[in-house]
Amino acid sequence: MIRLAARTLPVFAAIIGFAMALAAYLNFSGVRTAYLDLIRARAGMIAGDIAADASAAQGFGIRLAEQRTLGELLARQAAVDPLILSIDVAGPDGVILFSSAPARVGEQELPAGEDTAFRQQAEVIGALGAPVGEVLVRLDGATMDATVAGLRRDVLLGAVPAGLAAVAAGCLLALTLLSRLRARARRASAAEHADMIAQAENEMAGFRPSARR
Amino acid sequence: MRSLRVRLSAALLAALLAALLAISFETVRRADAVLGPEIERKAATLADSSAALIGKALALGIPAERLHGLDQHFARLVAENHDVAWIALEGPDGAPLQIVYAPDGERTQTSGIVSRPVPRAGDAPPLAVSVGLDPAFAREVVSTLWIDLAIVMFVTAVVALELIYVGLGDGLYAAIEGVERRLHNISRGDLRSHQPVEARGEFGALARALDSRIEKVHVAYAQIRDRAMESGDRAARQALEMLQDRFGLGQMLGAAGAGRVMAVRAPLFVFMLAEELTRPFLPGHVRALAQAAQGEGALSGLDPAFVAALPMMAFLAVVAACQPLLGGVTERLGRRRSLAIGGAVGLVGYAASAFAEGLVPFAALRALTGFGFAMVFVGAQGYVIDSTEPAQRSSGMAVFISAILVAGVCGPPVGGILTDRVGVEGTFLVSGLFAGLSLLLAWLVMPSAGPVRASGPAIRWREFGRVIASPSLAALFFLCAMPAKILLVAFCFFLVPLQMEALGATQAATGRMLMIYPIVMVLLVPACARLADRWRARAGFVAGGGLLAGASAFALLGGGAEDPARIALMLLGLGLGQALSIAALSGLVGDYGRRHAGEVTEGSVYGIFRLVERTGNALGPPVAGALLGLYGFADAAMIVGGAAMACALVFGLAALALRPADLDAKGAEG
Repeated sequence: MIRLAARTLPVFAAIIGFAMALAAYLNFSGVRTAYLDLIRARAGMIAGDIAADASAAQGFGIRLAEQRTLGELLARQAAVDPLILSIDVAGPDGVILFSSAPARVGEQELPAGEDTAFRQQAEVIGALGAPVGEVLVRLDGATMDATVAGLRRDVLLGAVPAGLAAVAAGCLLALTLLSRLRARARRASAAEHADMIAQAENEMAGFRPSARR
Repeated sequence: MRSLRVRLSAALLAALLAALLAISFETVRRADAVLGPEIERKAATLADSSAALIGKALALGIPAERLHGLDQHFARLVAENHDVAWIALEGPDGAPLQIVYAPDGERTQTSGIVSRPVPRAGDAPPLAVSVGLDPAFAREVVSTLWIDLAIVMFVTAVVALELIYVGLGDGLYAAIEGVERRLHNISRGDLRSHQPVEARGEFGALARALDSRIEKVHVAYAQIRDRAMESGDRAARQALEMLQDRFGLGQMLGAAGAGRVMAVRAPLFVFMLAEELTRPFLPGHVRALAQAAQGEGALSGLDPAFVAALPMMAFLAVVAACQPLLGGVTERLGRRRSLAIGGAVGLVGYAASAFAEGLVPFAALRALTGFGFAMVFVGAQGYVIDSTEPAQRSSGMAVFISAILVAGVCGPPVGGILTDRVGVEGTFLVSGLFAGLSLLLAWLVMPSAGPVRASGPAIRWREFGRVIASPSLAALFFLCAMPAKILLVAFCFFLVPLQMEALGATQAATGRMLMIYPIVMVLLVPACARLADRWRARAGFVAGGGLLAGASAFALLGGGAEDPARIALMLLGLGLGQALSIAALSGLVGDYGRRHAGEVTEGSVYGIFRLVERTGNALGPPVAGALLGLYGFADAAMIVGGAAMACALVFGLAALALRPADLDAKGAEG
């Protein structure tokens, strides 16, 4: 039975281990998606509110570049949220007009692929319905990555005991089933075992051809 | 071995589900810690945003009690944010002036409340917007994963079932199967002798010990019977004959049905799984490539849906064209080597498809993968034929077919889950890994040189004309077999994945939808085959099944195309119809072939039948693509379904009219 176990259990262990790793990954990715969605929604709301204010001012005839109070508003919004790197308002040419990080004013806004920050943006709409600028909320991608990495580590490490228990339980069950089959076969292979073979033997033992003539 | 395999898989599933529960609870605990602060921050932003909005309205002089539209605004916020239990505007005393609860009912329980003051000028009484947080949010996040997780666990158990042969090895598997079979037969009173088990080890010894007991009974019986014969005792001889009939004494069983055929199951299953993983996303991916190509001016006169069908047709056309040719090739190469070559070609094809840019390179890679698929398919089929005597052929082919069907059940949902998480490219790479694994399994598990039987090509072309000249066979092939395959490929491989994408479904949801057809087939085909034989009504089953499968498309009538439940109903109808017809159709080919193409070998008739089926497969995507471009999903499906119904009806009427002279099936013969 030891040889049997040595041959069969590694296969079961590998299959169960793979399934557990996949399950842990699915759990992790579900929570990661929820975490990123929460941040995306929050940043989207912040960008949307500022864009709505700027659009309303545009509607009153104040051009985006002239909305001087925006700088203070952006700084106030950014200060209350530790994840926000900056909130920028850029003109239609992509040049940053106002920012919670004053050093960014006058710089060209980086395209999404060239900026490692997690970004969420909303358009500022002019009086005629055309976009006249953009509000860009930049979040600390490194901190978010670190949180996600911590989550991954925790979920995967949390899965290890359950996975090991599943491997042990699965292997034990497999071994039990094989052992039961072996025990049944041992009993059935014993000459005195009462089964259909014994019944056939009994019926033949009682057979007397001469007595039936 | 069947019952032990099922029990082992059930045990595995139980262990996996228990562990999954533990992991999920642990994840919920961890998710609470990670998501909690973010939910609070988001709630604060939500409250700030609403408070600012209300502040502006109040500044315009609108009284707090007459803020029209505030309830709709709150309702929208609550509906869009699943982490929010309620949102309220509170008066100076903290009592709500306006409160909206989440759509699933009033929630008094919250994991926290976030409040923000409404900005007001001067000494106006203070107001606040409060947001109640949903304490079950983290649990909901994890519970929505349960469908995917349950599918992963189910598939794992099935994969374990498939790979158990690999784990045990040829000899031990045969020994355990032998012991189980002997015990089963003994318990039923079937004492016929078994083919000897050659494996060493404990189970081999136990099988021989059981054989020894059975053999003793046989010897004793032979002695008594000889004595009875010598004595001329008629009554004793009659009694002994009854004993012989009851226990099967003096008789020997044939080799176990599956036997060495099991060696091909794991590599075949794994390769088929590789292809099935691509089902949910392939049409959408190809359509995106087609649109990009047309954006650059290529094939600009054609409908994108039709262009999208071309790479899929390339795969199926290569499979159809290669199958008649590869029979002899795989015979000469050796079945194991053929499967290994097919696996290697699949590995290259799938992996390169992940990086293919442009429609033409992708189509070329699909054609290459189709060649690998055909090598594996034909090699595996040839191995089954090589390894079985005619009497065992059906059970051998059942092993072959069930491996393909089980891959069809497992592949699409897992492919969908993978695509949602690692993208199309990642899933193609996983398919490549599976193809590589099938190569490895073929090399490890299959015998190096199978018993090769000298034979000619699968189809002799001069026989093609003779077979097609028979009205019965032509009707069967072109009114039943070909439409059935066009219907299957058009619905399952092309139209449904594209429609699910259009409805905004996730790839995982598409994969689950595509499970319906193979599940119905796995569950119902054996029973339908038995009934068709028992009632001697193969032609009726073929016609009825064709009518039902075609009629399934009309589940989309009256706007059903927008309703996933109706699409599921269509696939269910397709599965039911084809479960009725598929085995009866195969049996009828043999019946008609013997009657109407007497000088043509049965092998050739079946070879031509398979070729017609494969041609139907290859026609499915362009037919569906052209109709989709012209008429849209529902009408395209109903046109294909209606045409299939018409074909089945014509066949059924012909079968009825000519019965029993020509088309009547001698059901049980086949």
